[in-house]
Amino acid sequence: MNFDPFDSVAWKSFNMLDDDEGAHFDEAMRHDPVLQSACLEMDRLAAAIAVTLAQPVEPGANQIDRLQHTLRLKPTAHSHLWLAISGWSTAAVLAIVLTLNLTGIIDQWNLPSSTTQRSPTNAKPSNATPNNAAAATAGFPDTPPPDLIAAYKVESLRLNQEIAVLRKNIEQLQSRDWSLFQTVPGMALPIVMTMNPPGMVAEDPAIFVKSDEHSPLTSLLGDALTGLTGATTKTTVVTPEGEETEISLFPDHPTAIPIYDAARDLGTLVVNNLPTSAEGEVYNLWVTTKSGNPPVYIGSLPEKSASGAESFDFSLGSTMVLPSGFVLTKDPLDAPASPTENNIVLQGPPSTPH
Amino acid sequence: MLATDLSPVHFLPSGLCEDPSGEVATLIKRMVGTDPAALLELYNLWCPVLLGVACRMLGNPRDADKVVHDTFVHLWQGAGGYDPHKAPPFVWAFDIMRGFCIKRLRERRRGKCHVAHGPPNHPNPAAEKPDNPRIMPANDFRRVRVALELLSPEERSNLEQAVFLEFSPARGPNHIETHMGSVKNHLRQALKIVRNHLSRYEL
Repeated sequence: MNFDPFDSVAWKSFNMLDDDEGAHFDEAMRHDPVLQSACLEMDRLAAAIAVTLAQPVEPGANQIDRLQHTLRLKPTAHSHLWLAISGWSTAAVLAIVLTLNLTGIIDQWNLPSSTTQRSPTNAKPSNATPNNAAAATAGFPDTPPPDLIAAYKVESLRLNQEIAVLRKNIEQLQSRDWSLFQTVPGMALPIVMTMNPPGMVAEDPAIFVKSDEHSPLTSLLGDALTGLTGATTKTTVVTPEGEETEISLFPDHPTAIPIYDAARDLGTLVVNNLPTSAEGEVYNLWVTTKSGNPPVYIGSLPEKSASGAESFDFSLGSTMVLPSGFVLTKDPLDAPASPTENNIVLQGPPSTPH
Repeated sequence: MLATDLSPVHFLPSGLCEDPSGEVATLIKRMVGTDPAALLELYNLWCPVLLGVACRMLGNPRDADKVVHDTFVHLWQGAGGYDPHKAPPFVWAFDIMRGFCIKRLRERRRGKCHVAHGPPNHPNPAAEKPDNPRIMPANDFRRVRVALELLSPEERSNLEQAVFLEFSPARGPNHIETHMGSVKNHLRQALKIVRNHLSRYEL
């Protein structure tokens, strides 16, 4: 039996698991959202490959009829007879009513004639029934036909279902937006943070703000984006003692800034001063969430990454994932390992100074 | 461009089989409102493809007809429960049909249903195989073909057989079981290459 649950996603999709393995996998998937999304993505891949490779086959002429008959969507063979019978019956009743009206018998019954009390829009043969005539005389509006009532019920049910789905979506979006607007040290919207080597604490933002010209976002982005835009590489800062000193916007150590738009699931990782990976090694990017789950792998940087500022696009695969942090590790090429103290190169957001 | 990882769970979203125009989602919504015309339109759109896939999976056109029929019955009855956030419409239908195919294969293995030994090919094969952009965007067809061309003949053959359930235990003891180790290795490698190529990361 394959004890690797993640590997079993593919075997599950291809129905290559026996009953015991399938039961174990189903149990594991029930509690693991990552495994669930992996399964869905594997289904996409299988469907795409099947559609690409399979030869389409035209269905038989009677297949759609059989389907409609199964779902009772197609009128039966004798339904047209019922329509004809009901039509002739209605016509016969209308003819009798008109005849009686013309001969004055209706007047003798003190019933209103159809030409005087009915509005032109209501003067339809289907309404010329004794029930509707009695209701009209009583002053009540005509009752809608049963098929219209059934249609209203179906439409109401559909609308209620749609309302329930929309309400659930709104709740999810509200929950996500509430999380987004929570203030978290070192983060700004869209989700932006600095990634530094482990152990480094964040600089006090106050000393970077010489004047109101620098917004907190600009102070946060600082180094790598400035390098990309070609702006000045040095800035003047004011220490708490009131002294002005010029510092470089490019720290010597490697840094990275992930910029992630959760609403669109689009992100860019801007790295700076990252040493080129050695032969057989690669940098891997991971994302952490507040749920406490282990870091999730996003992707790896190309083997030969530049030492200057460089940007890489990434996506998390879902707009409902709210990162609480990012980690960059350096691992062997064919064996990405979970982030540990031994392989973490950069992580963010940085810890705040005590 | 960020390179993708190799293990099955650490894949990247491929964006395959999406419904960018929302046309199919609209049809499903109409089916919730019990609109028979929507079902007919969806049937005309998906039936040839699903029937072709089912024929490959089951190897028998009569069983394939029945499975596709059951699939559309399930689609009609379950349209209200479809969640577009979980899977694109066609993947949802494919998943349902594949479930029926697996069930059919299991029934064959248990001897509960008679295997109709019909001709291996359906009597109504399509004369051509044009890529229907209403099933899957044309770019997805291209990407998948290119990805498959990157595979070795053995990897491609094993992947193709796996997608069409030819390695399913439900196929019975006569099917290949002694070589599953090497088959799985080929499949791992094939999936690695295909996913790497289909990654949605772009510069």
